[in-house]
Amino acid sequence: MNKNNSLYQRLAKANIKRNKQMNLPYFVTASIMVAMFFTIINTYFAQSVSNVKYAGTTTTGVMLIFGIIVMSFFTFGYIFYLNSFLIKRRTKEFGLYGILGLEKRHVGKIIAKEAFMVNSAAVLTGIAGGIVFGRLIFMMLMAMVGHIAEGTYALSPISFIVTFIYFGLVFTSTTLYNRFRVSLTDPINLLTSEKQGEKKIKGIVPITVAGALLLGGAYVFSIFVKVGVLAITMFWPCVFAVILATYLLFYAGSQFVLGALKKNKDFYYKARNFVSVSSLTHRMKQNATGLANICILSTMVLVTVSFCCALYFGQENILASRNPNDVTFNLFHDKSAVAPEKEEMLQIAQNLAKETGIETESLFGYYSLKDTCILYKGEFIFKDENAKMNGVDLEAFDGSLAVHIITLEDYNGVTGEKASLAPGEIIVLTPRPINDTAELKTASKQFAIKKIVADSPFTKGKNSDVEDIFFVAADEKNALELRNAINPGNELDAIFGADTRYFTIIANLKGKSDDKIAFAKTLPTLAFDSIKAVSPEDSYYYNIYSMEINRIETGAVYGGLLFLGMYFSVLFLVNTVIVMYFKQVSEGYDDRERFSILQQVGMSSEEVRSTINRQVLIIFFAPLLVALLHVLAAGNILKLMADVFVMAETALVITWIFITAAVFSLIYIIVFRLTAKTYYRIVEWK
Amino acid sequence: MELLEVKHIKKVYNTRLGAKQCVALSDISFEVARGEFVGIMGPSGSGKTTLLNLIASLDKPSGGEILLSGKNFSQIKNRELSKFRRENLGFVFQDFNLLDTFSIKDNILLPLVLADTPVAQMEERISPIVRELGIESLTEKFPYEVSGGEKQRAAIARAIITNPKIILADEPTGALDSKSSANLLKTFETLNKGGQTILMVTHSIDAASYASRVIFIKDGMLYNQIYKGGESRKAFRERIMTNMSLLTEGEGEDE
Repeated sequence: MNKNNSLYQRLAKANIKRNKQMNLPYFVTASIMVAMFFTIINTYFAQSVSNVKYAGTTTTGVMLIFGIIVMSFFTFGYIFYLNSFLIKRRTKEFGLYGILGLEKRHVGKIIAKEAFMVNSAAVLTGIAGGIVFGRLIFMMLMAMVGHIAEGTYALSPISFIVTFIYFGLVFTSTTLYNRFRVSLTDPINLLTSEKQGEKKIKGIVPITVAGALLLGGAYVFSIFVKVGVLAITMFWPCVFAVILATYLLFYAGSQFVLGALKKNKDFYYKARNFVSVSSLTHRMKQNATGLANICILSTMVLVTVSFCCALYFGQENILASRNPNDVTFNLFHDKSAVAPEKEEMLQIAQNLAKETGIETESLFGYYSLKDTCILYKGEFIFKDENAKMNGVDLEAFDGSLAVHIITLEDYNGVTGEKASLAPGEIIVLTPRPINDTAELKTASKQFAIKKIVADSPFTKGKNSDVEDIFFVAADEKNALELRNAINPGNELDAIFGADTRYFTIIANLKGKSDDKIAFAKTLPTLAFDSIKAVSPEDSYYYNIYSMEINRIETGAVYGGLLFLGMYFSVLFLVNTVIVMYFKQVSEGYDDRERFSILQQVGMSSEEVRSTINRQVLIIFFAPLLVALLHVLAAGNILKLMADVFVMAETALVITWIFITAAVFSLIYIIVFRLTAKTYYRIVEWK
Repeated sequence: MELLEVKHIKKVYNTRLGAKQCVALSDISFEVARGEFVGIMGPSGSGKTTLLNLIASLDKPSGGEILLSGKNFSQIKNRELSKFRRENLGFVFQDFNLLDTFSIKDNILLPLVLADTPVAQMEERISPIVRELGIESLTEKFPYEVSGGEKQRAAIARAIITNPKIILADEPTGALDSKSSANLLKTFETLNKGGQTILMVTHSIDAASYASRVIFIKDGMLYNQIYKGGESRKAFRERIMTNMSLLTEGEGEDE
């Protein structure tokens, strides 16, 4: 018995060596996947991320968990796919074992031993690689998220255990699957199974037409859509249409095109086309689904990475457009309470700035009554005027805007002007174009517009323009009148009262980032202390928007997204490469015989070489070209969606699509050259 | 001038490490005249296939020379070799060597396509051939859809479509049943009567009896050759058998 065991061991070892061409790439891929899995697990379990100070790190943690879950599924799928690819190639070998008299359980034992050796080597190598490169990857994550100084890298024992268990399960299931395949085998079938006729594809024309229509429809929509909201609602239907169309076209469309080429006799019966066209027909039949898979995954990688890059590298623009001013601090209160004292609040802010050691570039406060309006093609539309919105041109529709009604006193105070207003007169503060510059019409009343100011400090923020509309009224009474004319019977008035005045402090600061954060975090507390000292009974509320705090959160989200996006892209790329390689190798063996016949019949080795090149080129680059086409067609719809997700410079999306596509194509070309070499080495006839 | 002249051909293979040399053919000379049907026989390992590969210009001899219509193979540049092969030689193999990605018709047309023949001319050439070989109805089928005998006839069609000077056949009946074999050999006979020169390597005495001359090879040397002359096929068969047993007897004595 012992002797037998060592025999199996020897056979398994010999098999691994003999199958080096397949086993080595499999081992490398599996190791990379183990390393990536281990690294991401360890980053989470070693609490390296939560060591980081400031809010926003939980976001990164949540993203890591999400990443781990997705990654587990992907890794499992990929390894299973690779394994089935390898085992399928060996059916003939198993049949031979059967004929030589080995029982199925013996064969099972041999392949289990083989799998154990290769897989455990992969797990150990992978973990070793994970330890070595983990720190580097962690530093990359920190740099992306933006806290390189604070994160500390550590190794957690749990991550070792989790990795062992996870891959133990993965490899046990692949081994069981292989055992199952062996038990299905019948030596007689096995020896003859290699050469079988091709299946005939039915319904080529209708399937091609359906695919072309789906693809064309989705392309036309995504290229010509102009409205953001429409883009978002139709994005997923378009994606599904494109995915389906890709499968249909790779499956039937390719046969349709090749069939048409075959029918063109003057084209087909030329030395350089003859062999390529017919072997492509054969290859596309076998590989349509695989190539479509690669195409769709490539598209996803391109879209994800370019979107993540655009978000990450466009952060500052997004931040600026979300935070027109460095700090916006809003205080409001219940109906019964009294608005906080303006001068006192400003004094608190001023003192705090001084204490924290930052300069205030500007600091002002104002009271306001709030409501909303719609500004459509230069015309104000208020509540109860929805009729005006019938048949609206969505392209020109910007959504609803916040309205602040302030008093002349605050306006003059902040701007230093000496403007005057009669009752019923208003000043409008907005850089947006307005049609009727003489009057503001509401359902019940008209107000005379005395002037329109485009660049007051209210709307012209330090970082970007304020979206909101400001109306300046003569005094508090007039302000309330305007407010009630705009929106009679607001539902929230019951709680806050129609005349509740919001108090807002706008501060623009110069100083260190940490100090600015401290300022934004302390200001509400100090303001509340002061208010509570005066009126302890009443309820006050606040919200504060700080560009610096926002920057940390944004960094955590977008940095985390980019990190995960790249992580998955690497995982995907590694696998695409390996799948392509395996396909080329196994097809190389099929084609070897074919090309040797061709040479016997009188094809020169140069012709063989050029035919092979053409064929490999087309098979290899068809998915990439289609993926690039998809991404190009998606450019407009992606840009529109980015617009909706507040990206100030949406041109970035397009730029990043091009950069990502260029990098991706470059990697693809390198892989192609390596693969084509292997393929040629196999096929070349001597 | 003879059509094919094989002069003192020698072929030595180096083993992998280069230390040992393996002599496949030591010294073989013979000629084939236009319109001859020559069979080459010999036990396994006698060098038959090596000889055929050399004549096919698929391999180069270590010594000696081969001339086809007076043209020395060694003077043909490597780049022109495939063209030469395409224009002058037709091949029929034991496993047919049809490409399963091509229809029967495209398989037959393959050498013409490689020579960039105009489509109209190709159509003109193929129709009498497939009619003659009785595979007219199969042209649109694929190799895996037809029988072995039909495959071999398609292979013959492919071999003769270029009007080659000589057809080289390597065990053409090896994978066929007796009925298909007889059919195939009759086809060869007919082709030969039409003036086609054929050189056929075979194991089968029955197949060889269709030839007009049989060359026997043993241990890389020409052992003997016999001519059919005006003899019947049956009588010729007997003589071939006698020669073969002489050949194999020698083998037995060596052991």
